Amino acid sequence: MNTQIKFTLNGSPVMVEAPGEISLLRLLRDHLNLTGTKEGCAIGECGACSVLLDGRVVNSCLVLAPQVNGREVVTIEGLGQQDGAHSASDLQAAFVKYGAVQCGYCTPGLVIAGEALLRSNPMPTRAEIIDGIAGNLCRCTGYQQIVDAIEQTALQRAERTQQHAAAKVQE
Amino acid sequence: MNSFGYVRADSVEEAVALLNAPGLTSRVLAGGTDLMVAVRAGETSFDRVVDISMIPALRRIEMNGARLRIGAAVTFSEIMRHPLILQGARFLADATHSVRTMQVTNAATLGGNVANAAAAADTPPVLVCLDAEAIIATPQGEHGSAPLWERAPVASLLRGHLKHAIPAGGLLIAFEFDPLVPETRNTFLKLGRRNALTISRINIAATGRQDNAGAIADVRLVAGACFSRPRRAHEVEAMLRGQPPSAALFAEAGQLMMRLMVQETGQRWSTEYKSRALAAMVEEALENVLPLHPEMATEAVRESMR
Amino acid sequence: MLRHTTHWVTKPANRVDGPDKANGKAKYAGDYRVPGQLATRALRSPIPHARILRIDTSAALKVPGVLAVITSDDFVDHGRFGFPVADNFILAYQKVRYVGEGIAIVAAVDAEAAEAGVRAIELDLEALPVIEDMEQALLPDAPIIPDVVTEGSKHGQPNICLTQIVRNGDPEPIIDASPVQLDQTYATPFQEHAYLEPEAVLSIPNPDGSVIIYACDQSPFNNRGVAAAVLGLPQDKVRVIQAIVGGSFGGKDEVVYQMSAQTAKLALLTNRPVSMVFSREESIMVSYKRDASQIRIRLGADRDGTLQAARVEAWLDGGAYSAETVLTAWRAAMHLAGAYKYQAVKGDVHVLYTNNNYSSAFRGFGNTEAVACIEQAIDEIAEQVEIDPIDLRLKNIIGKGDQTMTGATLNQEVGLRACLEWVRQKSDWDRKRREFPLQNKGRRYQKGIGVACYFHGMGLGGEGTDFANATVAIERDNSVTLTNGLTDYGTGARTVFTLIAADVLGARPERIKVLLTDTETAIDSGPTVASRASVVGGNATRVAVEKIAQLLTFAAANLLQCAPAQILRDKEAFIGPDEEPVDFDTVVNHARKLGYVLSAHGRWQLPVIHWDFAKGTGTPYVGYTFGAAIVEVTVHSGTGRVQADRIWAAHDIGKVLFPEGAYGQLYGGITQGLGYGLMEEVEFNHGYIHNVNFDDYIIPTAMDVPPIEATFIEAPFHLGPYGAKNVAEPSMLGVAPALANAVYHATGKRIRELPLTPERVLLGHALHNDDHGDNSRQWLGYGKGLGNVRVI
Repeated sequence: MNTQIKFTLNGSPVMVEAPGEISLLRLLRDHLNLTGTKEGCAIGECGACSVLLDGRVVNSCLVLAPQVNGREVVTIEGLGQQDGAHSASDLQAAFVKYGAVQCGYCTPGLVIAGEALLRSNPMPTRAEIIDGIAGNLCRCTGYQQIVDAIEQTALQRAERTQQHAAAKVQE
Repeated sequence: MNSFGYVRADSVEEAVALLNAPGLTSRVLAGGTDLMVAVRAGETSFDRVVDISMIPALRRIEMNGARLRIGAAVTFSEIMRHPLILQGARFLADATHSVRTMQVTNAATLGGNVANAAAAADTPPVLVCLDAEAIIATPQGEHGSAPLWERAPVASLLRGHLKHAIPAGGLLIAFEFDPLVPETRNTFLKLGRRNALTISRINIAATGRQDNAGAIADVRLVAGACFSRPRRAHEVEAMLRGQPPSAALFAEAGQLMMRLMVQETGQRWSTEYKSRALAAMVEEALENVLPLHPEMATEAVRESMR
Repeated sequence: MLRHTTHWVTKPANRVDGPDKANGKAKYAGDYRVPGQLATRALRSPIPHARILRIDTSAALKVPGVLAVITSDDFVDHGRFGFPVADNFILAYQKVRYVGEGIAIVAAVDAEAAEAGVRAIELDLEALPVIEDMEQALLPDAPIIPDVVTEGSKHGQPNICLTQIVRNGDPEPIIDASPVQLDQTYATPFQEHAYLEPEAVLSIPNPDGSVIIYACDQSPFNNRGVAAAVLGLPQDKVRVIQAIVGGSFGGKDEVVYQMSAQTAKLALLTNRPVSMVFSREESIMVSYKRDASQIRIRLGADRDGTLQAARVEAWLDGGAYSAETVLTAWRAAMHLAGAYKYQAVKGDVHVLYTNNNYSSAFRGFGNTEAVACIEQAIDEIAEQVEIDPIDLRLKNIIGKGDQTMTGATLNQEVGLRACLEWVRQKSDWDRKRREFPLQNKGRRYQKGIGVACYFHGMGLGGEGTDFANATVAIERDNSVTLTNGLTDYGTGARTVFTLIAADVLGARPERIKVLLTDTETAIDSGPTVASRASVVGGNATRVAVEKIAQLLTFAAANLLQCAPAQILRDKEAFIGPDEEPVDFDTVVNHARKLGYVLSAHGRWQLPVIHWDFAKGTGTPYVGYTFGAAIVEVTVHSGTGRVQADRIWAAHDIGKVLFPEGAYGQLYGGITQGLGYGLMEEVEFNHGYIHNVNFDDYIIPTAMDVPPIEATFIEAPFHLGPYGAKNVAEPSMLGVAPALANAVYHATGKRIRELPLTPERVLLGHALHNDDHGDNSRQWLGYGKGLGNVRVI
């Protein structure tokens, strides 16, 4: 049966009528036309459908759509927005630069997982990055360059933060 | 598609009332990691889910007097990082971390892991090893509006694969146990087919304490995914207690555990493998918690297991 | 001619399709949403082998929301297709041969209505005896699976599709006389491609009776050919546009051709767009696999470890339809005895029919299976003669001027020795080989290290003409548009074409756009298989772009009033004798004024070689790539669990054109090899697949892949663009046998059967689970019973 679902999606309030029995993944893809979030297995085993729910990464295939009522969801389409509308975030750019993208199907989920990791742990070790993306299957890359991209993004962010702090001190 | 409604509870009282609303078959929704899979597979035994994941009272980790108390809707991610748990029940943190998947640990709850009662679940053996008690709100009064709070050992709630003994209309509220004293070592071992995103073929939770002379003062051992339900291996524990640890003794313990498994579950397609692997894992778990050379740090062992 | 200095090729570069993919904007076939789009659901076989007695779709058509139902009757010649052997159907005709085989497709306004339509179809099946494995296929009274006359029929073995042979001398007497002999049989499993994108297709009808198919296919021209034939349309009425493809690895050909023809037919019948998107379960049950193999290897060697002769016989489980296994078997035959010198080699590879789904192309294409087995056998010989496995290999590997195992002479630079030496040195091999066995005594965790090396024939070889077509055009805004008949399904081919064009034309890569392959704009180049895109497609791009580059040089010479030979290039600049640079745009504009046509077509073909399939002799390939891998493992002696700790790999791929892409292919291939060696196996029980989703069919996670140290040995290849060869397939070859050899080094147990699951390592044999088809049946929609399907 249809139900009304109200939540914050990529920073904007949305209201959508949709069946209450579907997953957040189907809600995003079939009812909100956000197809950047991918379905790989629909049982929480591949991470292709990863989104941020209240800032934490979850498999959207394992979230019941009405569960997001009143909560905040960020999808791959919303990730770059903080740096201007739909521009690539530094992490997304690093994925391209370091060769972390091949067929690209797992990429949105991995970018989301990488971003969630960096938000909770800004300077992860390589082992922590590997742990952080263990829920995302990739069949093309062997993960090495994905870990590189996340690692380099962490370093660049730390550098920027330092420069920012140094500039403040100078002021 | 199965048709069902959704309702979110803001308090335990509301949740119990909703679960016991007449004319509806309601089901608890916590992390969703098991329920959503079941729904997709055609599960149709309910017509409403009651979302309890946002109830503040179920989301706390705290000391209740001398007892450590973990709310039923606390997520695996919260458990694996919480200082009280790292200090008082490190192997519970290890068990939640063994899922190795942020997407799942951010959603999955301790209560859900117990209530789903999967044979291969990772936290129930640890809770049983800790002799943890579950606190359950059971319906009383009109439509359960004034729930009664009961206690029951976690072990008594687990009745076999996907079977639990939580009273109808009841809701898991929290788990309580005595935190381990620093002298008690603990370990969680997991055998899966890969290092992440893997179902346990066998898992083991164990604690051990040696007296000043080095003899085994206390030992607890629980194996998951190979008995009909997780339970303390009292037979093995009794055999070990009071003995000085030795490789031969642990090998004997492993053999006994293996016989218990075969006795209890009979010969299955996997028995030829699992019985041998179980014996080896028991030996390893015992070495971790009752080191032959106590100077060997538990940390090093943990690292070697990844 | 090519310049020797390069500005873009071989330098760090961004994948051209990277940003859209990282931003979530890239559209895969399942992402298209068009007005009026219909959903589809399939009626699939609940049993492995049966005669179809009756199909009645009339009740389905009465279900509200259902617009059309199709069966094999809706296609020309009942939808028969298949190359080289036409034994397959768009939808099952007269018989079903594997669990999940499509029988009818329902198109409806939504998925629920389509599902209700499927349940309303009445189907009567007469169950036939099931062939569960290759042994049963060869029994005298075995039921015959195919409906074509096979090569094996002539010898009373109708379930042998055919046998591919290699005949290079007479090895048996030499082996019998050799002081060191080996006779062992090895086995490899069915492997699932497990591309992260499940198959998807969208077909859109046009008012003139033509149809556009957006597909996640590997080879759009082959797809068009099949669709046009079974729909009874001329080629120009079927337009196939390749969507962004979410991984393929050989896996998105036949199954996607079926989906394309099915949706196209439904689109034409209903005059509505029709989409078909597989669930993961459907993908695993319906799509084809890497064949399972059994390979018996007989080797003879001298006491000093010199290999003398090899006799190899292989049996491939091709499943219910031969598909490309016929060609897979040929490639397997060409590599059965490995990259070694022999006096004589004889090989036979039999393709068998069973009721286990069906097999077709998968990365490595037969050589994966061959390397997995021969490289274990070579280690067994090394042990017999007590020579280090790398030393034994170095003693026997082929080099320039040597004869390969097929008897053909190797006329190219060979980087194999350098590969072996690099991995040996980087891995600290000699010390570890010596010390691990001493350290392991009495330990629970046992360390081991193992090696494997390989050669891999480039391109199609004797399978067919190896050509590609490219076009180039400079547009009005001076951007450059390329097409290529060879496609990019995640491999990075479009980036390679861009970089080559940039260098040849002297134009920034940002100017250049490689269009997605569309059968209406690109030119037929055969199938995109056999890791041939960089060499063949790259050369076609080069040929096309050189024509324009020459015109621009003429235009610049005209503008600068000098001879064309006096024009020098530096990136986008044209520099004449007075050394004043003129920019690209100025020269292009001037070329237009001169009336030059700034578009061109380039075709390139590998030299024609000849293989005599009947005699098993000839030249199989124009060239080879080479490589070596070392894997270090820890084995838990109590549980049999194997952990890969580190991997070293060196691969001779000629000149590396796009380093990030090449390393990505290498790491990715290694990881698929790791899965193949350790954990991946499609489990069939009585014809039913047990592991139908990623919870049971497991592939390596980030935590399973150890640190990989890898390099490229760039032995130049005279035919490749800039000296390039290929990387995609061979990168996975060495890992599984190196793992097996490492496990042996750690444990002293030779398993000879992949994957090295804990059960095999601990017990020496696999265990079979007790799922008798419940998993498959549930996900085919038969969880609650067969409904309107009657099995007699």
